[in-house]
Amino acid sequence: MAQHRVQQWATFARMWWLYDARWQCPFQSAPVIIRHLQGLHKPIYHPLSDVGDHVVVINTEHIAMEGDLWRNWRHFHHTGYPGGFSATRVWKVHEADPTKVLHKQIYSTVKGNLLRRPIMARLHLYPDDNVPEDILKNITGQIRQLREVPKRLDEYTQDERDAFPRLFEWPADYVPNPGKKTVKS
Amino acid sequence: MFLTAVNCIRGAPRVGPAKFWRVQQYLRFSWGFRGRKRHCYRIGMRYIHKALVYATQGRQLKKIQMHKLWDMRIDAAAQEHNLTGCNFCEGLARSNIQLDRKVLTDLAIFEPRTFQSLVEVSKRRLEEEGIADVQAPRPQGVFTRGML
Repeated sequence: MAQHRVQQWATFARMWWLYDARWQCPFQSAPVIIRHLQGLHKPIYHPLSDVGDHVVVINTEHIAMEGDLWRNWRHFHHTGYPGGFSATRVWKVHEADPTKVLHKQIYSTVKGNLLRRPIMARLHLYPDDNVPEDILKNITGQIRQLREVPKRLDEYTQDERDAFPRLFEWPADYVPNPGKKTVKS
Repeated sequence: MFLTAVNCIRGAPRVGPAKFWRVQQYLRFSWGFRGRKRHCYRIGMRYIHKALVYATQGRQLKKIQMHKLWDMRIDAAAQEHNLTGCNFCEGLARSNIQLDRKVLTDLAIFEPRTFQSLVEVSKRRLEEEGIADVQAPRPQGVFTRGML
């Protein structure tokens, strides 16, 4: 059996995972993504060995943030020179580069050791679902979304809307939002 | 008659200044050090004391770190079968299967089918005890390559 001494099948092969970031929170998605990037989902995981997988993240321009975080959350930068500090609102960063918010969040979630660079190299971010064919052909698995994307009202057909159960009918003269009261002169 | 040269010089063993033999013992500890810590007793002595403290702490730390690593690996292996590592160990404990984390990790790596059967045992037990709804269907929302 000496020839089977190092037979490892495909234990150390790298898989490619797909993650759809549409309507997903970047802060909660990052730990899930780095779990696959670091190989924490494999029984052979060791913090010093490079056993992680590739993750292809699509629709990063459609990520969602809770509350007022698009305005309140800021990305910081310092040039190293005196007075070189700058803080940018995250909506501005997102407008400039739709993949940057998720990239920075994942980068800061990964522990800062020598493996961070190869881990980040295995992350592929795309603002929409236009993934190059050479990347797409490798994908064999999908990471489940943390939040299910809800359907908008205009995505339901008229039949589904009519079939929706109603407790009561609105009166014909009911005004849902009367708006600002106008003062008659 | 002494076959060892040191014993000839110092007379009979354990006779003479005790410091000489103490130094010999310390030099044996510092054989792997670098620089003058290795050969000078007065310098190496302090580092040897610190090294012995580190060794004592390291014996405990190694146990803690291995425990964490086994937990991570068991969790990863159990999640391949849609079960958390915590629930998996709970089901095994309630089934009176007394395998420790090291053995479970080795099974997960080298005998995945054996590990899978253990997961099935654990799942069945959890279901009987009503601990977790492990047989529930997985949530929808996963799309395949053809839909992209």
